[in-house]
Amino acid sequence: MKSIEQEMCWMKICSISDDAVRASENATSADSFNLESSQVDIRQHSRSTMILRNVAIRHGRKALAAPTPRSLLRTLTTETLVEDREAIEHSIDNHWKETGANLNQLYTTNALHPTRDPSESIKKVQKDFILRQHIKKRTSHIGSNITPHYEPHQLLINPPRPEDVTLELLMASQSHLGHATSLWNPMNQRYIYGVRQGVHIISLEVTAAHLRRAAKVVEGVAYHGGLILFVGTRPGQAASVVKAAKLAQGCHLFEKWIPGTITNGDQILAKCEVKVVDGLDKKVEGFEEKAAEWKALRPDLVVVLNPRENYILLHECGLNNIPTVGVIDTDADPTWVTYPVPANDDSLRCIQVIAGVLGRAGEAGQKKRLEAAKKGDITWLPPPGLGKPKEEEEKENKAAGPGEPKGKGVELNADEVESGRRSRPGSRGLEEEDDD
Amino acid sequence: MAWTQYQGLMLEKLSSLTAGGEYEFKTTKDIAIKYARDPNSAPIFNYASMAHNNAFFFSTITPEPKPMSAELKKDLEDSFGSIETLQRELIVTASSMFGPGFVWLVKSRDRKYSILCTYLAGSPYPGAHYRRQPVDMNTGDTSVAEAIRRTNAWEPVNTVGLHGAQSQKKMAPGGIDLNPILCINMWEHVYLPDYGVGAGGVGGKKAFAESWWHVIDWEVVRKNAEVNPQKKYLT
Repeated sequence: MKSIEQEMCWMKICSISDDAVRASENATSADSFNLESSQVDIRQHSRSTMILRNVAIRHGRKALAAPTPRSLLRTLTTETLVEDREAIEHSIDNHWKETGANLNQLYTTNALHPTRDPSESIKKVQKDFILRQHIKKRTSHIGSNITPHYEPHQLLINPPRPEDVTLELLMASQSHLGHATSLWNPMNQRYIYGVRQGVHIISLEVTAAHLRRAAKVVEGVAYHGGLILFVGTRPGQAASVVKAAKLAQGCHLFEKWIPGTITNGDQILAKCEVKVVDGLDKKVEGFEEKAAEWKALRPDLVVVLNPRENYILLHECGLNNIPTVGVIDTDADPTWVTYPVPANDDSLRCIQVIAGVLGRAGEAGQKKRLEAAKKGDITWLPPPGLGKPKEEEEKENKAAGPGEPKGKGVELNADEVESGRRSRPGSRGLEEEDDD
Repeated sequence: MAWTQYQGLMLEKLSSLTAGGEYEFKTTKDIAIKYARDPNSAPIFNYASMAHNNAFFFSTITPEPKPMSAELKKDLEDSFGSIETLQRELIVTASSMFGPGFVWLVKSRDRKYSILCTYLAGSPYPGAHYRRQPVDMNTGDTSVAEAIRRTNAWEPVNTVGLHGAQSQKKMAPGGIDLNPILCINMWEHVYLPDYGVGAGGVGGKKAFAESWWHVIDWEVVRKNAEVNPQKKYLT
């Protein structure tokens, strides 16, 4: 008996669902099912009705959402009971109301309107945020002047500029702490102030002077449109390296340097895109073919925060005449880099200060370059062999005539300084961690 | 004296209490909001709140005041009817407060301004609402039981649920709905040396409040109240 009843339940549910689908297709309301059905006394079928109701609730989503395949329907009766159907729907409604379930989860209820207009609440949130920021700005500083103090995150959010470098800052950042005296590299003796507790102490004035020099180099390279690569492969250096690269609009590397990225760049950097930009860093159209065939780019300056672990990178830079800046500890080799900065490479705070200072220097250089470009003064030269955009070259060839040789080579036209040998990090897909 | 000695004293005590702790380098406002609910740290709250309120008061006065800007005047007239009404309300509230405190002009959303008074070291900020201290407990209506007075004074507790009478509040507790833009410091040490206690109807709180009205820096008030929607935030 039970199995027959269950079968009946299933048949009835399927037929109801089929009707529901048809009805929704015809866009009639749920109350106006005009199917011919005999009026059956509900009391006689109360048990089956009860069972139907419970089954519909428990399997409501599935039962109502999936219409029965056509093949099966032929074996079923299409007779439906209006009362049963309505009872089921009412009970489902009540069930949802009681439990507060979200009706939008049902696939058939896509005609429902959302409870609130999402765009209005977004605007309200924006307004509230602006109000909060305004109140904070006007009132939070009132009451006292807070003495300058160390906040670790500020070194990454708001790094110091080259002008802010003081001996006190360097000392507080532990930049003077070298390695044990037995581990030193004697080539560094000119940077060492003395010995304390078995450890070499790097002279603060030397650090400051070399850091300022390195900052000037970075600023100059950035001013002249050079590509700067910041490298820091030790754990914890990633954030400072990324920040510095962002400020200087250069590239970053915080995982292993792949040997050959410079000497074998066309292979390793094959997936990196090259684009041509003008003096204001805007992309220039017409160089797509040339850019696709262009050799892999090389950095114009490499700043390494842990040179002891990046010998291969520094060697490649040396082979290709790329100047390097490096943080040289008392046990590191200062001849590996062009511009050593004697400081403690084991202290993250010291590294953050140095990377921040060099990043700020790059930012200043970029700012000056763009300001000069706005006035019309471009501070760099396009690479030889770039030529002009495709359309212009075609025009020139036509104008020159068919018999004459095609113009090639560098055409430096101050009015239309179009080409750039540098590409933006984003376009090269340089967000990958393991490549520059 | 209110500025040089009192402010210095507040900050000295606050520094000694917060030294070496987590809130050593925080602003007075942050400290006040943090310790508003903690009765064990009541001294810290008191000093921080007093330092903040005192500095706020001095930031809103100037020896050479300029006339009110038109937008601010319109806003205040919309809320108070007229500027004279606002002046009268502020001065009357200030003179009738028995005991030390502050009288604030606060702005709620949608250009609605109102007056709020905070006794002793009370703070107008919604984050420190537990220590707003807007009423003098001694002046309540004693015909009603204290429990009922307390219920009426505090914010409703039964705000849970979707359909309750009190649950249509749109904001979480401590949500920003008040922006203090102007205040007057009615502690005695502020007006006593120049205006005296007010014996015999001469000087005192009322005279101080009246002459304070003429040195309000309306430019600062306008900036405090102003909310410039920055285009980059709004879609």
